[in-house]
Amino acid sequence: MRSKIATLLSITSLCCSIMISSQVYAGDTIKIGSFLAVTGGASFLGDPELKTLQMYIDKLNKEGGVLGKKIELVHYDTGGNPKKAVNFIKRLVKKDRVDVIIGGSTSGTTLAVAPLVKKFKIPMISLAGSIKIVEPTQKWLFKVPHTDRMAAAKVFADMQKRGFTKVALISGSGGFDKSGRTQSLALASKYNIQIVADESYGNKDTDMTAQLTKIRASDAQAILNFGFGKAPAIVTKNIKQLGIKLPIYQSHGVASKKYIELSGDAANGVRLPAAAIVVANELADNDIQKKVTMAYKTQYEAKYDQVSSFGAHAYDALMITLKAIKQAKGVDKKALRTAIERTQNYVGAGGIFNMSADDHMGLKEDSFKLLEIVDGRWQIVN
Amino acid sequence: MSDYILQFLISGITVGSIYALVGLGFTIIYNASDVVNFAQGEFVMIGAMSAVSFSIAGIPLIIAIIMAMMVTVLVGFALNQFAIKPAKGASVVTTIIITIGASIFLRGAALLIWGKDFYSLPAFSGEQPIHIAGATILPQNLWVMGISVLLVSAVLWFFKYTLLGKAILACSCNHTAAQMVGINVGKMMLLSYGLSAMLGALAGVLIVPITFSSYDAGIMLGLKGFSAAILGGIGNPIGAIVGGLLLGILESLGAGFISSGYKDAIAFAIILFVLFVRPSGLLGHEHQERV
Amino acid sequence: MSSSLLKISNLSSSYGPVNVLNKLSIEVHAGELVALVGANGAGKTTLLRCISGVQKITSGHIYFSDKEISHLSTDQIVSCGISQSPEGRQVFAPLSVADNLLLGAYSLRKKTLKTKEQQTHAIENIYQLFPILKEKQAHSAGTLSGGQQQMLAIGRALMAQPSLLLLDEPSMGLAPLLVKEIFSIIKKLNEQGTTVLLVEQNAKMALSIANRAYVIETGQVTLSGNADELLGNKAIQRAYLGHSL
Repeated sequence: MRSKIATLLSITSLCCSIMISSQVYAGDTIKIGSFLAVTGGASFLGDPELKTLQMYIDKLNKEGGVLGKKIELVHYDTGGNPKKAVNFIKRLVKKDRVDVIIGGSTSGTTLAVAPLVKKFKIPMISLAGSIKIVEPTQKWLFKVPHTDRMAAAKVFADMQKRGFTKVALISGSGGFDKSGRTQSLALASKYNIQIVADESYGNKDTDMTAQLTKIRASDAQAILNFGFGKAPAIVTKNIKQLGIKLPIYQSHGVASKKYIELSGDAANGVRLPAAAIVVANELADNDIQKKVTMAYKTQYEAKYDQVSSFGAHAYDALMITLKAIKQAKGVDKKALRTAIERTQNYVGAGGIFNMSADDHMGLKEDSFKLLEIVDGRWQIVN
Repeated sequence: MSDYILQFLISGITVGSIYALVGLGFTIIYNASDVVNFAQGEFVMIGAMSAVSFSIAGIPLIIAIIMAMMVTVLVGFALNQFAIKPAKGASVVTTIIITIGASIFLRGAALLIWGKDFYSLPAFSGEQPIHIAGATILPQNLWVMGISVLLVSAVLWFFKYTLLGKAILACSCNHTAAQMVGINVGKMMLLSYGLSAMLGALAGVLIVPITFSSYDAGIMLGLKGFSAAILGGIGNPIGAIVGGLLLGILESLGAGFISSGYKDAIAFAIILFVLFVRPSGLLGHEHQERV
Repeated sequence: MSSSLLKISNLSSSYGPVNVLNKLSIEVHAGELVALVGANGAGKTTLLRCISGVQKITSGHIYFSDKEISHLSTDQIVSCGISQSPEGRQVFAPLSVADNLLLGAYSLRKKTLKTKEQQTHAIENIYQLFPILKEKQAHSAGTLSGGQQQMLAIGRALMAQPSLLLLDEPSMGLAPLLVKEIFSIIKKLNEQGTTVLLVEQNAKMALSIANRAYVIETGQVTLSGNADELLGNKAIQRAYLGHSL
């Protein structure tokens, strides 16, 4: 009996102390909400994103915070599930009363919460790729990653330069792959390119030689693969196995050392668009992004494994948010939104951001670097 | 056109051999206990991943492969001892659900150990494609096919000609009667889980240079291997091979001639049709029992 | 006939809350043919399952050659020399007749039936007893007729070369002519030296070949004695043998 009372007392006092402390914090902290796919199929996105946010917010708080206030990160794991994302947005706004939101990791979760963002009138910066997030522009919604269309444009521009007019497209079954395929099909004619083969595969397939045999029989001059994970490496190896000599282009989806490792020798000569962060080491010293990418890479890799462009998007989103908070001199949502929209000449890990009322992403095509794999290493083309 | 078909067939046979090897693993446990072990794909993944780990640690490939097989066999034993055996007396359906749970657990453990990355092994004898009448094939594909043939022969021989193999079969026919002739059913179960884990590990090691592996690679392989076993007639080792090859070739021809986007749908539609006409699979026995 | 081969004392066993055996005690001496008779559900099959270790006992003891075996596993009990032809025959249906017999000798695989010659010889012995099985040796057991399956089940049990053979309802579902044949074989086996504990609903048939018998009702022995005496007992006649005897 006595122990029961003791337990009750301690629970009550614990509740009190939580209430008191949260009240004290409310005035003194800036609350950044986030909903990321830290687990589940898209965890390769959410995991480095959350790590980046936590790492930089901890660092900032140690250095004294922003405008003299500590920053508090309120995070929920969506597992990539849009339904969960919708619930978490409601909780972030109504219960946690966050000032600004960073997320989600995937286009699905972002687009699912877009109507609520509009309703709640809260600024949100998405870390997802789809162009639909910023086209048409929505007042409270921003995004930082490059779009699939930019990747396709970068590739097609290089193909045009090399004089290719007939291209075979092969893509995976995931959302990223399908969106990339749609953008590529829509964009090709602008660069005088004809898509002469349009094949697809399942992302977990183990062999794509059947599709590539058909491509071999077409009159394509180059192959473009929009894909993700291990499949593009299998495509690359299968192309070599079939003795196809055509130049291979991949998307920014494979811009990681793992792709080179899995593809082995077959990867040599492959070209792909990628964010500067992937080739931070290889960037020229006078490159405007050299400093920021090296700093982020060093910071991240000191604590975690190899850096990815996904974590870098979270970095950019956080930095844009902090700059805007400073400029708005607080977290008034309207002022904050306007400040984000006025982001100019921010040199980030993903590129140079110049946002406006019509452009809630602010990146140009040149923010992608075109890379070629030479002897198992990245090399920046021209 | 003819070299088209030849290439499709080669692709189909390569992929099909992989499905067949996984399907063969299903066969052994099914033969011992009528249970479909949905953690079979995880055996393949664990075999592949541990072989990669040992190989990265600098252990020579052949020893790394043997060690990976031993690790996987231990996992198979553990699955039997800690998940299947405690549920002794449970219905087959319950046991199958337990294996599904075990597969989720093993996948989670693999995620903790190896993370989310993909891993590969170097091909056993180089990557120089071999040309056959306008089509090409990798040496590793030949390894997969060759060892599949060896393994299926070994499994067939085991069940047909050894007392131990027959004793395992007896356990699935009739648990009580098997006990009454002096077969230690518990031991047979342990043995069959160990054997099918070893088979899975070997399959994993063989295919990892071609398909790569990651913590979740077992899901797809398990599903396709299961389809192969069902298509061929579950419980029949030759059925698993026929089913696997057929599934691989169907997928490849489907992707080549009809549409790569629908190749899985085409393959599964044909499987459903076959099962509709012959519910026990292509080579499955009709239940012949007179009382 | 002084020391008993099998001695069961105060054995109880239950299926969940239902007591099937209630402090039952019986004895079988070496060389005997003992019958257990009783109505359906009296607990005869359960008793045999307990002896083989397939059914758990709740209390009591089972001694075989003066050694307690009630805690042993089924395969250990078979190795001790007790084998059973179970109720409903329970042959390994998809396996061949020859394989069924071979598996019957599983407990001897490291002892007297190690080599192929020894195995073949043992199987030949069974074929002599049941010639029809030799004809069907390559057929799968599931395709045999009921009588043939019964022969196979008995043959399989004999393959273990038991010192005590447990037979559970060997006449069940068989035509009268076949029943006669099976029982004459059982008698022959006993005369050749195998101790037999026979469970039968066909009490008349069982008592006609047995030395002694126990009558079991609701898990207990209600009557026991020489088979001839029981065969003449009026109460038994009424209860199990029909009036016309």
